[in-house]
Amino acid sequence: MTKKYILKLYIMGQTANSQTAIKNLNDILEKEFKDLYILEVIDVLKNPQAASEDKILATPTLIKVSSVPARRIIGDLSDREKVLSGLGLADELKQSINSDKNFGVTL
Amino acid sequence: MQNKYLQEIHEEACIKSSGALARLIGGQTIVDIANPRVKKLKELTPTIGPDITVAIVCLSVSGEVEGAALLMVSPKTAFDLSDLLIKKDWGATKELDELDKSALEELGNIICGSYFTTISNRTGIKIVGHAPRLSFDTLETTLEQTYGKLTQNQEDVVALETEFNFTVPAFKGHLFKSYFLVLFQTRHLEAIVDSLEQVAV
Repeated sequence: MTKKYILKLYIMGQTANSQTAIKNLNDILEKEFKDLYILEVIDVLKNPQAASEDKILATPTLIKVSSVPARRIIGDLSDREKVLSGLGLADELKQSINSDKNFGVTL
Repeated sequence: MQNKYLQEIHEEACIKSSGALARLIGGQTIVDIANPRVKKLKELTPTIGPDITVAIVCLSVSGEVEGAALLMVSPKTAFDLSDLLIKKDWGATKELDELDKSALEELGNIICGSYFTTISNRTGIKIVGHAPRLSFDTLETTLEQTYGKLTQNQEDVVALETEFNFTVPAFKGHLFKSYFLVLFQTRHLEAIVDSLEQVAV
């Protein structure tokens, strides 16, 4: 069974940075983790309860719920490398690429 | 002008402010991290009309650099903030008394002070904050008065322009909006950026 990454992105309404974060994250996920993720976008203005439970201090905040360890990153997610390393996904991406290479898969 | 080190300062200051605001109001706050833009004063694009009267908290700093931070809110937002800070019934504030004004100054002190503290901590530059001051005026007038204390010529001043918007989960769906400026003499901001780059190397 293929492992799926579960992510939550906390945004604040229609603010410019929130919309930028959604776009940037979708770009990264579709390019690097297509069909391997479940993303929940949560607006703190509409769902403050969830923000309280996750102790959100600022938006946009991206949380990787699984795989463990859970990680979080704050900002508009414009720096792809920072996003991947901040979530601990850069190494997994490299391993995935190497693993696919070992099986002769062309990426 | 965009600078990744100033962006990092901005993000850290927003997070610090969020934590300090939470302690002030006794509940969670969430700050939206908007991008800061570095601009000349004549290039500013205020989200609060420059020609209407707004509530402005100004925190001046001196030391190795001179500057000022301005937190601006509409009169209605000032009333809402007073309800929040003084723990009054929502909508109770119709005008500001001395306690309300003091609370708004403290709010401005937290937000503006977070910026200067973060800059000072990261660069080692000594920055001394002065007492925050609340006034009601137009942005245009306030800017003239503020940069006039820094230099004779507004061309020598740059502003870090952004919005400081936050919400409090206890007030579901309410967004407290403000327009935020940090003013420096151009040469002082350049010195700060140089220090940040050196620290990063």
